[in-house]
Amino acid sequence: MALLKGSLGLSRYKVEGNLPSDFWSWLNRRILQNIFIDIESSTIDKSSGWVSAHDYFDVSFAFEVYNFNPYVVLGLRQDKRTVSAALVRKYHRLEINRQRELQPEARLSKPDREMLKEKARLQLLARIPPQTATWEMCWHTGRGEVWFTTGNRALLDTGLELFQKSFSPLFLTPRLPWLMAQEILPGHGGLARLTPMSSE
Amino acid sequence: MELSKIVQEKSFLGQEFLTWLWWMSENGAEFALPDGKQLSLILGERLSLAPPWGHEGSRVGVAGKDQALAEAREGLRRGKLLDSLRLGLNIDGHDYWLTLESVWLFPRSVRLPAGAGSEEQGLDIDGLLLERLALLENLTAAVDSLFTVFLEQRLEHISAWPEFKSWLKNSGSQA
Repeated sequence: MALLKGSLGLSRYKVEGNLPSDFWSWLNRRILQNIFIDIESSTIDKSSGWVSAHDYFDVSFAFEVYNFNPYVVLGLRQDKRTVSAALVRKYHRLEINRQRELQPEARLSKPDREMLKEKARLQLLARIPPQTATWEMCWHTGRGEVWFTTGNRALLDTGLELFQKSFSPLFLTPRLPWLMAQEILPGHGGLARLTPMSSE
Repeated sequence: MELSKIVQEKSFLGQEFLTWLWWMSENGAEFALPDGKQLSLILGERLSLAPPWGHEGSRVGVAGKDQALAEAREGLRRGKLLDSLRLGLNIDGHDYWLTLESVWLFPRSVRLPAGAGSEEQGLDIDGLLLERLALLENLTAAVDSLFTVFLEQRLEHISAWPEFKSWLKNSGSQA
């Protein structure tokens, strides 16, 4: 858990929108609606959701373990299986060969071939264990700010989507220097006239 | 304005901020934070420079002490600005380290003050977590305060900033 030990990176976002008046019970409901669903014994290729920040196998959230008022600390987990195109091609061919052995006279139509390809892909997905990625989100409810403990673009996108899906109509905007400037000095006429120093 | 357009057209502000931080650290500037804490800057041994946004040119990364800094100063003199910076923030006597990149200003490779938020303090897991979150809050609030000071100064010098320009121009001779 990066928030607990060692060096870490923070990707900072501003929470846009007003928090509901029953915030903590609303939050609990929304978290439980979007917990991580295990895909270990399935052929689903991707799953992501909230887990306990202390233990990525724990999705019970007993005693509101995420509640560190004013902070909300949640773990994010993404499990993903990837089957390479080369592997699908190889097992697709094996399926076609098997079919031809079973029915030497039958001619395989295009839909038949597609079906065999999907069958090969699903069989491979069932054999390949998903890879797990975990990171954390810290939401400072007082400051209206969210930190993700990853700089990985794909994982950040997953985190942003999960936040939006879970806590809509709230949404996140990155704390880019220009947006920070607009927040610090709202309506300051000078900002609109600001051009790079190099061009002055 | 769309985010991609902001990243493309307004990233000069982040480059200028990082370069200003170097200038301030060299001046030994001290800042009073809104919560009353005192902040001073320590220049780290890793930084990179790039041409100002919209200009062609190569990126220069340097790591190390005197010689590397001389190379970086030469880059400044030639019109490049900081693209990333390893920086120490001394807040009330405690050193926080982080790397900032100009586009996002997200704190990377953050090192919190030695000993703080560690098991040696005898805290339980939740206590440790709260301690570390408070330190991260200090750090992010300090970065925001520095950015605010920079922004106020920048807007005071909207048409020209002779002192800053002069430092940029003469930085090569300080090596």
